[in-house]
Amino acid sequence: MSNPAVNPKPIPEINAHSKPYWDGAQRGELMIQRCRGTGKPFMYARCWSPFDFSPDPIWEKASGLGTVFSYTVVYQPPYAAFKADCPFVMAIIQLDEGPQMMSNVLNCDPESVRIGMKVKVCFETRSGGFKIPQFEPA
Amino acid sequence: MKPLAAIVAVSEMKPGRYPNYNGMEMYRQVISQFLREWPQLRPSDIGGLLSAPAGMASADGTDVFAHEKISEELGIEPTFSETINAGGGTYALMLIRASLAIERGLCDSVLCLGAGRFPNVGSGMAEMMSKLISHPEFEYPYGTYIPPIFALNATRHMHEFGTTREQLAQVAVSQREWSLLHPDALMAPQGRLTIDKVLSSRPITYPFNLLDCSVPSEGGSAVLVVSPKIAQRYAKKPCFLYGFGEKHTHSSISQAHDLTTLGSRETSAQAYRMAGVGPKDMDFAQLYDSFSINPIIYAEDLGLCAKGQGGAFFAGGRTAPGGEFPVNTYGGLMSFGHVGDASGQTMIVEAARQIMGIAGEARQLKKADLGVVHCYGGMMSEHATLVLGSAS
Repeated sequence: MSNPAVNPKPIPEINAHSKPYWDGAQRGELMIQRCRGTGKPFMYARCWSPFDFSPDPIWEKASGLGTVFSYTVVYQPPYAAFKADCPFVMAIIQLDEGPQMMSNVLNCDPESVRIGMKVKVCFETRSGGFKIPQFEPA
Repeated sequence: MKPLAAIVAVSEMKPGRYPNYNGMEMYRQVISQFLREWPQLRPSDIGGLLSAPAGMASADGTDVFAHEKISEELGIEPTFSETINAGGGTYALMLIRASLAIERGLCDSVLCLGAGRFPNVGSGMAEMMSKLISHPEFEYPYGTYIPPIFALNATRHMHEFGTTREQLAQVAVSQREWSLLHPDALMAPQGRLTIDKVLSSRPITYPFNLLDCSVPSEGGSAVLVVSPKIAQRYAKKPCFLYGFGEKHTHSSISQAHDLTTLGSRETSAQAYRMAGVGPKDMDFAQLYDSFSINPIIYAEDLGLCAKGQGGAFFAGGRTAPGGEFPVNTYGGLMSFGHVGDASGQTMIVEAARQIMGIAGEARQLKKADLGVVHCYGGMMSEHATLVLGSAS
C-alpha cells in the first residue's frame, strides 16, 4: 500500500444522510443500517428502509466479518491514483450480517484471493488522514 | 403472432474515432447517412422522435435536449418525443416506447436515434466515468471501472458453474469470425482470432485479457419504427416487433441480488410470452457483449441453453458463421466495435437487416424469420429483450 501521507486515491464526497457511516470509519468502526420496521440490515446508507419505507433507519456497528462473494485482480489501473497499487483486488464482500459491499482486499498476495475466503474489516488512510473501510484475510 | 410495431428503415455509421464531431454533430452524421440510404423519406414520414443524450460521457458535455434540437433541424413537429437514457438498454427501450406510442395513436412513426462517444482516458474523464457507472460514495473509492465490474460477474460464474477462460475466449473468437463478413467492422482488418491469442493478450482484470473486452469507438445509428398498418408502404419485408420485456434491477454492482442470473431471465420470459413463442423458435440471437462473459450469461437467461451451460453453448464455434445457432452476426461490440452509448442500437440494426433480408450476401442468414435481441444498460442493471421477426 502507498504511503498514507501521500495516498492519492479518492476520498468520497460525504452526504448528510451517510455521515454516520464515514464518522464510524474515522473511529475504526464499520457501520451498517437496520430497518426499523422489518429489523433487516442493509447497505448502503439510505434515508429510508428499502424493505418497507420506514424512516430513519438505525445505525449500528457491524461485526466487521465477511466473506469474498466475488473478486477480480486488477492489472490495468483505472487512472493514475491506483497505478502504484496494481495488481490489486476489487471484491464484493458479503458481511456476516448479510448485506454486500464493495471493497479491496488488502494485506495479502492479490492472486491468493478466492471466492468464499473469510475476511475482516480494516481501515486504509487516505489524504488528509481520511479512513475508508477495507477488508483483509481474517 | 400480432405485430406491435415495424422497423422499416435502418442505418449505421462505420465505427471509428470522430474527434472533430461533438455529440450533436455525431447526430447530424447519423441522420445524413440515414437520409442518403433511404432517399424516399420526407419530414412528414416522421411523427415521433426519440434520442439519447447527445455527447453522453464525453468531454463536450451531455445535452438532454437533443430531441428538440434534432426535430428542429429535421423540420418536424413530433407528437411524441423525448431524450431517454438507460445506457446500452436505451435503444431497446426506444423501440418499446415507440410501439406503445404508436399503439395508443400518439403517432404513426418514430425515428429512434443514437450517437455514441467513448471518453478518452485522461484529464479526469476516467474518474468521472467511475463515479457515473458505480456508486460515487460507496464504490468509487475502491478504484471501480467498467472491466473489473464485469469481471466480478465472470469470476462468480466460473465459481458457480465451472466456466473456463477458454470458454470465455471462444466468445471473442466466434464473434471475430462474424466481423470478417461485415464491411464496417472495426476489428475485421486484424483477422482471425484463436483461443490462444485471446489467452496470451495483455491481462486487464482477471479473468479478462484485452481480447475479452469490447473495442471502444464512436458511431451511431438510426431506426425508423412505424405502425404495422403502414409498414408495407415503406418496406416490402419489414422487421416486426412481436414481444418485449423490460426490467431494472440495480445500479451499483455490489447491490445486485445475483451476479449470474440477471434481469434478462424475466425480460426474455416476458418477451417470449407476449410473442407467443419460445427460445427454441429463434433463428438467431444478438446479445449485448461488452465483455466475453455477457453473451454466456444471456444465452442462459434467454433459455437458449440451461443455466450454467453458457460456456459450453459457445464452445467449438457453435455460434460462429456456419454453426448451429448464430449469435452476434455482425461481430458484436467485441469485434464490430462498441460505439459508446449507441451500441445497443447496433444489435437492433443488425437483427432488422437479417430479418429484412438486407444484411448483404456475406453474412445474410439463410433462415432469419425470428430472432431475439437482448440489451442491457449500466452494470448489467437495465435489461430489455425484444422478439423480432418477419411477417407471420
